[in-house]
Amino acid sequence: MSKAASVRVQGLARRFGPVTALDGVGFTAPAGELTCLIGPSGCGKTTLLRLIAGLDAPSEGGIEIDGQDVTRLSPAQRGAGMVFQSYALFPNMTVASNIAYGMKRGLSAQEKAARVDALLETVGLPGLGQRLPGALSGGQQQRVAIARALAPDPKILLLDEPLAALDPQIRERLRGELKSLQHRLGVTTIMVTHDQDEALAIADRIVVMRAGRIEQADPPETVYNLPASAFVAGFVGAANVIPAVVSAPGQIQLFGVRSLPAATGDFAIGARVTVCVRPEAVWLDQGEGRGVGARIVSRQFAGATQKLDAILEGVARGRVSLETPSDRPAPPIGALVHLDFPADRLRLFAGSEEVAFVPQDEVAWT
Amino acid sequence: MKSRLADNAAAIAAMGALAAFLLAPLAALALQSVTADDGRVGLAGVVRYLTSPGLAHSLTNTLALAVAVVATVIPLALLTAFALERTALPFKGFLTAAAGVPLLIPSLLPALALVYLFGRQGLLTPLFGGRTIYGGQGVYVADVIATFPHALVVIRTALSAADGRLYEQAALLGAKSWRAFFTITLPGVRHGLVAAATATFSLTIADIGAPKVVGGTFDVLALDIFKAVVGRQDFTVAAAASLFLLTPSLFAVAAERMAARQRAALISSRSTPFTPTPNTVRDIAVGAGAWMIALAILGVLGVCQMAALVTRWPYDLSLSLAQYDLDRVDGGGWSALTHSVLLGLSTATLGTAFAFFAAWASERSKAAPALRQALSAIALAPAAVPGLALGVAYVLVFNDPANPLHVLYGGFGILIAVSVTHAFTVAYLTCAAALKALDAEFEAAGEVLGGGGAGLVVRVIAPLCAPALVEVFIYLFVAATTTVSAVVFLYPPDVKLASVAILNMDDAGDIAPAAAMGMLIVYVNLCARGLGLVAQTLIQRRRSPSAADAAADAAVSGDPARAH
Repeated sequence: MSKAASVRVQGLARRFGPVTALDGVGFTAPAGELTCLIGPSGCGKTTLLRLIAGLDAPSEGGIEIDGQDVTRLSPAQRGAGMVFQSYALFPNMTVASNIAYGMKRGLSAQEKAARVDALLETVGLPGLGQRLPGALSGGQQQRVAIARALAPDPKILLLDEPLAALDPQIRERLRGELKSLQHRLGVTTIMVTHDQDEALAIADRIVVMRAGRIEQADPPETVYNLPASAFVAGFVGAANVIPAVVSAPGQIQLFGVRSLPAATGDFAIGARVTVCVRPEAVWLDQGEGRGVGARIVSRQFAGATQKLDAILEGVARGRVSLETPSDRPAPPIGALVHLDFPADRLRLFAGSEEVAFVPQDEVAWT
Repeated sequence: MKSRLADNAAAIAAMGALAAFLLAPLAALALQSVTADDGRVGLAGVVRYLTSPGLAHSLTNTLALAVAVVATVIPLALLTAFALERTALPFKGFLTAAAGVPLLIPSLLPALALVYLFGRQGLLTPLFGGRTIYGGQGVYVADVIATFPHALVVIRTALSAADGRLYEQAALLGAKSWRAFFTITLPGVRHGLVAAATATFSLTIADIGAPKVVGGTFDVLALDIFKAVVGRQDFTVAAAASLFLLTPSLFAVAAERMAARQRAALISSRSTPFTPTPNTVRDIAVGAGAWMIALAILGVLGVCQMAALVTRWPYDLSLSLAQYDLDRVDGGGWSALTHSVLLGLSTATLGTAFAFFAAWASERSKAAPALRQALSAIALAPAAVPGLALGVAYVLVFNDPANPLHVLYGGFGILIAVSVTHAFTVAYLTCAAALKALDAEFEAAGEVLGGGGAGLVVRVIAPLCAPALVEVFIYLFVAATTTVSAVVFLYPPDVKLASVAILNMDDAGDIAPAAAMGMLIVYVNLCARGLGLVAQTLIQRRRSPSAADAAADAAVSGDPARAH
């Protein structure tokens, strides 16, 4: 494996006629790390990956791999290995022939065979070289696709939703394997996924995209705990997105009525803001405690936790979701409770228009 | 996606070939129809044709014939298609083969069988009080047999696209099977029925074989063209009449495209496949009909075979191979069969290569989208041109010494060109469907790995299309050996063809040798189909490893994912 290379993308734009798929995108994928591109469908993440691979040419901007400008190079010259969503294994060729397809022409047959064996060993499929791809399981095919991408000794590895075609049960296990393989090889990897759980679980760095732009590029912990926008908060993990008004320094009114302490920072008094708070950060008090009065309207048992929906008293659309550990007794539907919103867990963003986002669990949000 | 220079060139080359061998001849046909005898542009020729005394007669005949054939073939084909796709009948393979036989035979053969059965010395003629089959009724029966399998293919394809959920829902709502047939089945295939009807119509009006053999004094449009070219060398009238033939064919192609679109829209990704359940009354009723049709077709073939094997029909029915001494009669003899096989092989080889090339350029190349769309549109055009019209057009274009392709004229080359062009659309669509079914990311994978472009086509794309390529090869071979209409004006004196020989032998009264020659074509084509099936089976077997093999792999690799 060659020394790990970084990837730098600057001012990248791609327009298809009147449609702008990418609009001035820039980020760096550090050497040896696993970077995940995530975002809702149509956000431009796959377009970005294809531009990095050289399968498509940008309208503007440039791409550097290992400090070298590769914007004008052909895909094969860039030193990028790619695993496709469908794997695109050639079904008429054996696993060994598939892996050897992209190897340098100068290699002898023995050298190729030895390298094929070594790669099969690396991805955990020793001895399967003479099988046809159709005789392998989805998980095995994915590993063959990785071995084929690694065969030309690429500087970087690009993965286009490599787990999307697999059953959910296998998926979780394989994403662990994928991460440990990547870590072992130390190859700089950029992976597209629409599954934010997957990105949180295995990425060293997450690039959240929306409508052709990058919303945030940070390590997973930062993206989850300190989302850069209401969109990111809603897209990565579940979040309550609540319109509010800054009523006084350090005070906000949720839904314009319930006053709460919050870090209002630079927001002026009267400014409309959007408050994001994770369901597990909302504190439930079943006694006469402090906080905002609310009535429980739905309850869902989810194993380790239970998901509750409550409506703030006197606010018809004041719906808030919260999550409490299952080992604590949950209030019945219709019960009056108090909800506390810890000031340090509230994230405030300018503007308060309703923000569309993909909820983590559709049922909990209907 | 950037378009590539080489890929653009490929798409343009494919279009150029279609322009030279299809669009230019058609343009010449249109031009000739408005060229007066003195070479000036004018409607004199059209007027002369439209006012010729026989025209009204042959137009009426042609229309009546085509309507009668359509009205008979569509219900029969629907019945057979229903038996094959929607019932639990046994021996469907045999039924399919028997019903498809007329696809492998020259369209003259059913007409010859009618002559043997109901002609002047026909075996069954006495049953009808001595009245013979000659005339409109003969052409009608012969064309029903000849066009039946074409309609069957279209309707069967339409019926095969069934969404099982709809039938389950209908059953849950209490609908009887006949109600499900009228509310779900028929509406679901109505575009297919229209497509089959228009195809049958245009095949019937363009057929020259049956009117020649059993038509007697029954004049039709196709015969007008034949007489104008062969008898009077009047190309203006031939061109004008050819344009008449062209119009319904255009509708047929448009209807077929619409049916294909309806089929695609009908089957959503959530459709469940329909599995016919046994229903004794329905299966017996439908099965009886389908078997009668299949046996009738085999009977026709059997009569021809018998006629070709007896000493002198109907007086001396002792078996003999005398009729196979083909060199004894005019028409071309055994060398005609050799020429036909050679024509079949070269048409199949060149045609398969060209159809695959054109389909690749339009479906998978990185040529500009506008070029690819234009190419796939032009590729549909040959299906709209009846063989007879194409033949006339070829004479007009390639007989012209100013045409650089004139060298082809009067040789084997022109026969290959007309055969490939005549059968091109089906070959192209088969290749295009196979290419479309391949993983869309193969080209991208090839590019990233550094083995894209032509290398990928040779190593991956073409091998994966092998079953379709075999199918296309056999289809083109059969089309070239059976067509009469496309080649009848174009064969040079020293290259007689078997299918044309049947026509000429029948004309000379040598009916038994004509039947013998027809049966030889049938056997050659049966062999070709058989070889094609063997090749496809071998390809499939190499492609799919057995289940046991896969299970053993799972045990070796110890992958629990495999066990699911």
